[in-house]
Amino acid sequence: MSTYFVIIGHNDTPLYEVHLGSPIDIENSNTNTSSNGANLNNLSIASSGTTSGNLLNDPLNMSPFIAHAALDIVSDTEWGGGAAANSNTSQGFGALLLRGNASNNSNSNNSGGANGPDNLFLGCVDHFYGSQVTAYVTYQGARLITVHHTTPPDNAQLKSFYIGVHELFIKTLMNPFYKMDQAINSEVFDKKVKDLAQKYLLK
Amino acid sequence: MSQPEPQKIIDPSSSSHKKTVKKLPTPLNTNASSCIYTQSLAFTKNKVSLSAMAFLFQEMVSTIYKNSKTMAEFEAKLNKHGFGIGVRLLELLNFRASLPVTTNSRSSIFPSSSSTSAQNPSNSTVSASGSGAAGGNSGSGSTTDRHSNGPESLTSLINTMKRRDLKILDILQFVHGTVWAYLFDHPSDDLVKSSERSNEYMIVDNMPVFTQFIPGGVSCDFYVCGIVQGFLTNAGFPCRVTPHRMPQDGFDRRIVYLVQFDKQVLEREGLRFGSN
Repeated sequence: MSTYFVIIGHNDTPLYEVHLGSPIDIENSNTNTSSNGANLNNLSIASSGTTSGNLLNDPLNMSPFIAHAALDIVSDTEWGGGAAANSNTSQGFGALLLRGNASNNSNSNNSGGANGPDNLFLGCVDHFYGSQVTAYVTYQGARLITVHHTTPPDNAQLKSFYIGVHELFIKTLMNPFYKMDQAINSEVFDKKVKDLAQKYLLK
Repeated sequence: MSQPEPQKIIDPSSSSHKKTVKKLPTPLNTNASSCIYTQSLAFTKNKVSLSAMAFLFQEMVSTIYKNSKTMAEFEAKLNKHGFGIGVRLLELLNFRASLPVTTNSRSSIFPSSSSTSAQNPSNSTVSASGSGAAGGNSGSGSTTDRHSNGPESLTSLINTMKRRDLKILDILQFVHGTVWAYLFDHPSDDLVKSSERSNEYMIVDNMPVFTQFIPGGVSCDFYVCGIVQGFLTNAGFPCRVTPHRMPQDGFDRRIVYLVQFDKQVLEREGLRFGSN
């Protein structure tokens, strides 16, 4: 599946996750990965269960791992760190700056990081061998993270998607029976998120 | 929608341990189309009568009082009730603040010059909403591309979301202004930074609305404390909030809510935003 979306609560518990998009053919979609430095086809890690040994032959299982691995960077960025400043940095490790100052974000080329006019949408915060991770933070620290195995849509579309899910999340919160950090199991929520994804993410 | 099953009496001597209890129809459990996702988040000025609110509050207080053994436990429980409200208000009011300024979307129009004696009255919440409004007015006219959330969705109106408040002063300004205006129809009377300790701030209310009919001490004000505490804690500023009665200027019931932030909040503030 080409896109994986997860809502992680402010206590780092996943509240909702969904796999979106159509199954992708990893071998064919990685022809232009040379710009990212690591060529996926050369990456062969022996893993039981995948026939050719290619790490990303199993995107379904890798996606939650990738999303959670990006949590450190999201936490840093949401409080004004300079971690997400450069998208040219290494593949999959991110530049962790724990003592970011406000001036470090002047050269960030996404939506201004956490010091711009809109500091909810953090943009692309991490890479993982060609898969991009975008993140959005709600006011209480719940993080909406998407792993894009194919090219992500542009920022405007992403923002519309994230703000739409944010609104749905707030409506879920308004339910007086919803306890904090409870998993969101509502089918209506699920359907609406999928509709949003269909409209904004998977073009 | 299927009818709920009648509750069966469980015979203690029966061997089957199946419990058939009526399920509360929470939207998380029903298969019927839940209406919480189809209601708009925009502000509708629904006023509740003060007497109804007072009765409800009094009943809540007496129930908690009966179930508590000590005053500390009573205050903690009351605090917890308010906590849940604060958590929800955090998201809701910030979201509403992101909407472009129309006559209906805002909960109240409070004066932009807030009377604070805090160190740096940056009024950042008001200015941020102002800039959001300027950007939003151009986009709010055209609703040709309806958001797929549905016609009641407000997402299509938003151009820029309101900033998350990262500094102590910003978020306290928001509590002093927007939250208080939402709850009590006027911004709180004062926002003060303590001169003795660096992690203490005070929000002053001359006429507490909830407890105006309750004589005696300040225990029942822990409810509003819980609201503030829930709001601040979930925004990433863990703190303790306690009420203190300080009559002044003819206001006998004047309450000061003392907000004490945890050390980690000040440390983060110093690391990220200090040393400039």
